[in-house]
Amino acid sequence: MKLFVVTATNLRDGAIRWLGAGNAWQASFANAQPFDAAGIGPALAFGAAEILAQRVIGVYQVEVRRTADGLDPLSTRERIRAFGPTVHPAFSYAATSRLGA
Amino acid sequence: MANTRIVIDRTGAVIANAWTTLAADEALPSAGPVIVPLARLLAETDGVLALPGGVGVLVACDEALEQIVPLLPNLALVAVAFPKFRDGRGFTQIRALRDQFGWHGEIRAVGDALPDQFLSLVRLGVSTVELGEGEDPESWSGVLALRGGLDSRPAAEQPLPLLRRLAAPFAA
Amino acid sequence: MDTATQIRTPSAAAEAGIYHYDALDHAFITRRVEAFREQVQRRLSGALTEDAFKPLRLMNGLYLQLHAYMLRVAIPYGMLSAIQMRKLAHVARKYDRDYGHFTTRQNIQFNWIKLEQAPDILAELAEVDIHAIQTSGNCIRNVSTDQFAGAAADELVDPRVYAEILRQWSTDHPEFLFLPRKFKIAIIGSPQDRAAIKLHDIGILTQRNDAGEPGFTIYVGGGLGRTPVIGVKIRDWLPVGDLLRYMEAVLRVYNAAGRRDNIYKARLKILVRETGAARFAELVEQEFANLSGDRFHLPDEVVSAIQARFGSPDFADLPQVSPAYQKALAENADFARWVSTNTHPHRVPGYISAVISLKPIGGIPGDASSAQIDRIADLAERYSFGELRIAHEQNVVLAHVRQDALFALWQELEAPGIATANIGLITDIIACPGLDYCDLANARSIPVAQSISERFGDLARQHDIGALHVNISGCINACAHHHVGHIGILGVDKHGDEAYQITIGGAADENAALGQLLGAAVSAEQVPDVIEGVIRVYLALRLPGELFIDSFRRVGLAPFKREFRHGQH
Repeated sequence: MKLFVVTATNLRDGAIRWLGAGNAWQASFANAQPFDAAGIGPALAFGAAEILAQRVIGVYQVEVRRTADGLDPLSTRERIRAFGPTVHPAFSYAATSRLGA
Repeated sequence: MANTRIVIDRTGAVIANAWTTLAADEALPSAGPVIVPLARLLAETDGVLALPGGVGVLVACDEALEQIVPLLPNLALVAVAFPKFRDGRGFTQIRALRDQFGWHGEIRAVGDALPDQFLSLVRLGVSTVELGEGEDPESWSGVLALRGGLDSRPAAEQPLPLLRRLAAPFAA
Repeated sequence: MDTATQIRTPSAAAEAGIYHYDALDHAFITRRVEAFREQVQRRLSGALTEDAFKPLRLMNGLYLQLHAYMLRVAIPYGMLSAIQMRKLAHVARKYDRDYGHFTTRQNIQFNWIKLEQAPDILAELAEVDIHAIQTSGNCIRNVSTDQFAGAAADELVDPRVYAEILRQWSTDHPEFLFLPRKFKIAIIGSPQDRAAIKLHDIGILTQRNDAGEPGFTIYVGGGLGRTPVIGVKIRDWLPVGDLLRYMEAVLRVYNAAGRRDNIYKARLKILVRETGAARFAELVEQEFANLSGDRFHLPDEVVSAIQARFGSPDFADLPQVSPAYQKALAENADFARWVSTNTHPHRVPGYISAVISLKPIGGIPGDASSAQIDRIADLAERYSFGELRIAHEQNVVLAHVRQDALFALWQELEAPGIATANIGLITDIIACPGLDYCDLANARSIPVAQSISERFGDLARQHDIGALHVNISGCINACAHHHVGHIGILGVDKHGDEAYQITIGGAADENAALGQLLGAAVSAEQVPDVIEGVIRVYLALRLPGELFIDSFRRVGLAPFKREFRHGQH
């Protein structure tokens, strides 16, 4: 069964967001809500409404898989987007959230 | 077909608009002022030019202006189409009409041009712009207010650097 | 002279060879910032959709990248004053993550920008006459030139005044802001092409005729990406007075006839190829003839007036040879080694150009921290009349250093980590940001650059290998110009994994050539070994003193291909 999460970019500050439980945008990939093929449609529709509300841009779905530690994007590009530039570990979400950035 | 679109002049002011645009399959009206697509003008030249009340031509951005140059003295308006704001060919057509062909009649930009393109249109010599459905004329005049301050001195008197001299609008 | 046209640069930067704005120049960019601020407000309120806003933000240098908005600030033809450099450091500290990235088109990029702060950033940059106008979008981009322009010993004509004229002509040009695709111009003034003019949409070679008058040879239709093409010459001699008129003619033909049906076929190079070079040249000449009157004529007095706006270093009257400098060379082997790669001969006796390497071993090519940027500004002020240049190889040039001060300068480079003696060597790698940062990439480029740099980090070894240009692009858009690297590396997506295709024998200079494919794509881990194999072949068959590229031209691809295949088993 394919699993997806929904992601977007904050319009104002360009920060990456993940759709979490209760249709709340989350800063960390770890809090992204997984959807199956049936659930992804309404989730993307919510994202489209958020675009019209000028909160986010660039809403799309990312295919993920379950691992022992949680969800993991399938593609290298989406892993880098979720976990930060590999050449600047200090700029990953986990690192910058500790800095309050 | 009556034209319900708003038309503004080079200053962004709304003007009265009596022009209608002939649809592709529509018969010629009995009188103008009417804007006729280029293909129709070429196919029915005598009929079109005989219309009382004024005649204009609608040029698509991939149509060669050379085709209508001999007819320009008989036209009151050339409408230059912007099918999508990203397609900048209309800018070259406007400039060619003013600069290369030396025409001083009304040039009207129609289609999908953005308010933020207004300054470019004016500098190239456009006379009027037909706004899109539901567009607010203030978003156009606002752009001029913000970005304008077009140096109004004639080109010859403008000081260096070069930028100001080249920024002088083509005479409309 | 009315106050509007008085030069307004603080005297501290007066000598720096940048173009000094007057009040009207300055008003232009500040008005532009306020217009952009208004556009951002309309975007945030929803009055502007993203579709309508996108070309506007691109024309002010603001991209949406993989992690955040990225701002690409223009450094016109690579020239900066120390004051401007310090403002870049300030922006990095205040609005970004304390660093900037110098690009392959002589610009700087900030990777972690917030849209809502972008107008404030541009306002601060405008205070020192810096902008981000037309660093993106389907318009004429930053005109690039030789990093040693105005200083190089082999220079025939200083091209910077013409680069500035082209900048003014192309900025906000009403007709050419919505071209089929981006448009890049490069101009040089020496026989050695240090700006890769044959790989630009328009490449301009400035020369002198027999009467000693300056003029131009024009190349068009060069470019890399999916369809790499070396530009063709369409005009042998263009007098200075006709420069802008000719540029108008080329751009007009392109704007009217360039393809708009397919973004991968929309560059000028495709139009030139599909039209045929001779026919394209004819179309340009026709358009040139159609242009009316004197509007685009470029009189000598305008050129002189703009030239006068450039600061001019007050060179001391020095002997050709500096005993102190010669002594330092003789006594300090490390200094001598640094000089052998990191300097360039200067046209003024007793002076020399110095290149500050932003390629530390194992580092990110072209990145500089705000502290390093500040330090480099400081060095420019004390050693080079407050003037800096950004090379398209992503290094910084102090163009006018006294030979007798060079040793002292070198000694100051060590502490901030910018003393690497590797210019033009295998670790002076040109790399794009790649998949770590770029939305367009297929693979990462920076880690590959780092691994090659670490593998070949030993300076003695690098110097023995000699000049070897390595270019790494993370995708076919070729922002790192991999097609014209002596060794070119292209990141591809191979069934969802990152893989790298390697070419050799490319060249970006006056003998421009496209590299040839070594073999099938390899993994990132294998890349350094493949490079080792290429070097092994070169060292085994090179003639005494023969550079890599010359060996390649002599022996061809076959020996290198054999080694590659051998290494893959």
